[in-house]
Amino acid sequence: MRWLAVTTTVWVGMSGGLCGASPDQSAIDGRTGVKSNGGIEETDDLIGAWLNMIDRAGKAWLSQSDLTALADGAAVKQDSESWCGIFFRPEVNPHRANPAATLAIHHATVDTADIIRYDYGSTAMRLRLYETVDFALLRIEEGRVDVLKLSQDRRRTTITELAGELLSKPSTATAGASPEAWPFEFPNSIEDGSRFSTGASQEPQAMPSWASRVDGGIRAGQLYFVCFKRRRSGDGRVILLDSHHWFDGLAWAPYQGPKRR
Amino acid sequence: MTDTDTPQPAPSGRASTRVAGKSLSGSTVHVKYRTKITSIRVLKLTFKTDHHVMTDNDKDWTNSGSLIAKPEWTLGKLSYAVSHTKSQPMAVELEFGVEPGNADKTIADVIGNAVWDAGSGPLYYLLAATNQTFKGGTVTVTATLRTTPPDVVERLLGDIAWSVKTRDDGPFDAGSSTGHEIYFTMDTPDSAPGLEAGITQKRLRRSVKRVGRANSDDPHAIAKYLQNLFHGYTLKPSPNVPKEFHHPRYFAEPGEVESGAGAWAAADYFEEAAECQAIIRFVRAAMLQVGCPGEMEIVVVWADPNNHAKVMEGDWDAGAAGLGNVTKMVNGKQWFASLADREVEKGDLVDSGEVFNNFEACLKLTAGGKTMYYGGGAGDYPSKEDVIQVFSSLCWYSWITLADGQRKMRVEQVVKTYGSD
Repeated sequence: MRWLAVTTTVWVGMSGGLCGASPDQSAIDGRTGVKSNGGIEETDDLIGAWLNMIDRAGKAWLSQSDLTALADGAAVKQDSESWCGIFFRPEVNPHRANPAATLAIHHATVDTADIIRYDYGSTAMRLRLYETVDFALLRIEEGRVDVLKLSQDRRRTTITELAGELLSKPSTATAGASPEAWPFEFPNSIEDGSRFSTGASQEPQAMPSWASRVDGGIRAGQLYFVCFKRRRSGDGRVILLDSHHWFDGLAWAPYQGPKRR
Repeated sequence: MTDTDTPQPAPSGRASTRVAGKSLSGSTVHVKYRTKITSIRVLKLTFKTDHHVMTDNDKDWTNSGSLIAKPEWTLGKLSYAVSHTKSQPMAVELEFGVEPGNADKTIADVIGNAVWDAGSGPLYYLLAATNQTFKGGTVTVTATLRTTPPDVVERLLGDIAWSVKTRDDGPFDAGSSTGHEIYFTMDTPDSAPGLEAGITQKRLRRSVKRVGRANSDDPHAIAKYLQNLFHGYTLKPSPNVPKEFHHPRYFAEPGEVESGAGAWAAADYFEEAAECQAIIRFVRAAMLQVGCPGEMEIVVVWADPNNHAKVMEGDWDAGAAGLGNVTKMVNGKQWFASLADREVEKGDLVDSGEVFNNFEACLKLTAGGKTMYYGGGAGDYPSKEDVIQVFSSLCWYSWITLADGQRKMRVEQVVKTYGSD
């Protein structure tokens, strides 16, 4: 986390005091969507910020039978189905889960986004998926392998194998030649709290494809993978959706209209 | 043949004919009984002046199907569709079955009364072939349109009732060729490049319908009319459009499968809007499909931050991405070049919204000595220098993450401001 150019990494327990983007702030000087940089708390740790945001959702989850009950439910459902179909192997897609995935939603607060949570899987591997308008974080709740009980070498191999079991193949996701396995760059030692990425230098919002970068990590003993919803416009527009307004559809409001300008 | 002066009763269907021989003064008379035509029936019709470039795929938007076969019409079957340039002469080749097979020849005129409908009541056209030789068996003639051909882009449906008036054997109702479907176009249909390539029946029929309603021969007026069919622009995928079409882009991203329809599919979903580039891809494809004159190109317009903000133009079909790949590292931070919609200043944080762009996509249309850039919902401009003025500024920005997980863009440098000159 960076506060006026002072950077510190915070993993858990972050709460309150954050300067979230409120709609009224964005109209400063009459310039829609633009505001000055006063008192904004930054971090270089994108994944950490998202993990902490999920923690802040706490117990504020509502069971839901169907996403279509949301204000913009049909579009949210389509978005989720589309990205899950892209990110995950068919047998890992929560929209194809049998038995059906248990669905819950978290409505955005001042410091959390709209989040969908799916619990599903088999007794051999229980999965939990957190999804926002920006990312999908797939966590292995219970698996047949405890990665942290393996040797360091086996940990790398096993993580790569699990990524291969859960995620779509890189070769089907990117144009041109790609490796069959996700090419994670691992730290020297993989421990609880470790993180890894296939393209840490890639900006998730500007990389060529979602498959240009997949992240992962181990937290509280649980392995997770993060896939970024890299949205591209054929119109050359840079798409940045308001993660607090996914469910009501307002996230898309600036990107549609009778006339573009 | 007989050697008596008294003609024998002519067998049914036959007529006597004086032939070379001796005279009535006792000489031998040679009489040949002419075998009359008893029936004439049109069997086949082949258009000779159509374009013959259209495939028979009428069920979906893909570039598939087979080149429509000739003849277009055969007795007992409905006619295949054809495309034909409006205001141009039309000719059809007809094959008649003439009975009996040994009927003697005669001269005849062929008349075709066409009753065609464009949806607003019957229209009457006349086709004819005069002084044709008919005899028993199969007779092939070429008839031409004798009335003024249609001078508008439209689809005509209908039948042609054929009659043959012989000099020796009287008139015949030769039946009708039925179910003709003719797409009158501005000129020979042309295939768009890229994802919209191909000339199919479904595409041509829809293009004729839409371009026809523009009620103009001016390509610029047609382009404006077509882009305004869309109910605005959007970057939001609509659940109402089948996923296979990749609304609103109408092209597949890596990892997705192309529908094969390209922007043609948008013709069924105007109310769902589309990206500007998809709108102008559809406009171009529909105009080319009806043979609209003019040079048409999908271009992207941007300004080069590394070359004095020079206004640039690239070919969208060739993959031009404008500022999409223009980045630089500054103090370990990646900066991205962009064109801002709104006024920005160094240090501004940009929320979600319509601010940064890699380019403006336009249909560049040159016709009638005039070039215009049509933005598919983003305005129309006479030059790329005018297009760039839709932006507020050329700048560099970087991505940042807020501690609560939100993403923002920070303006790092403003290279050039527009609209204040």
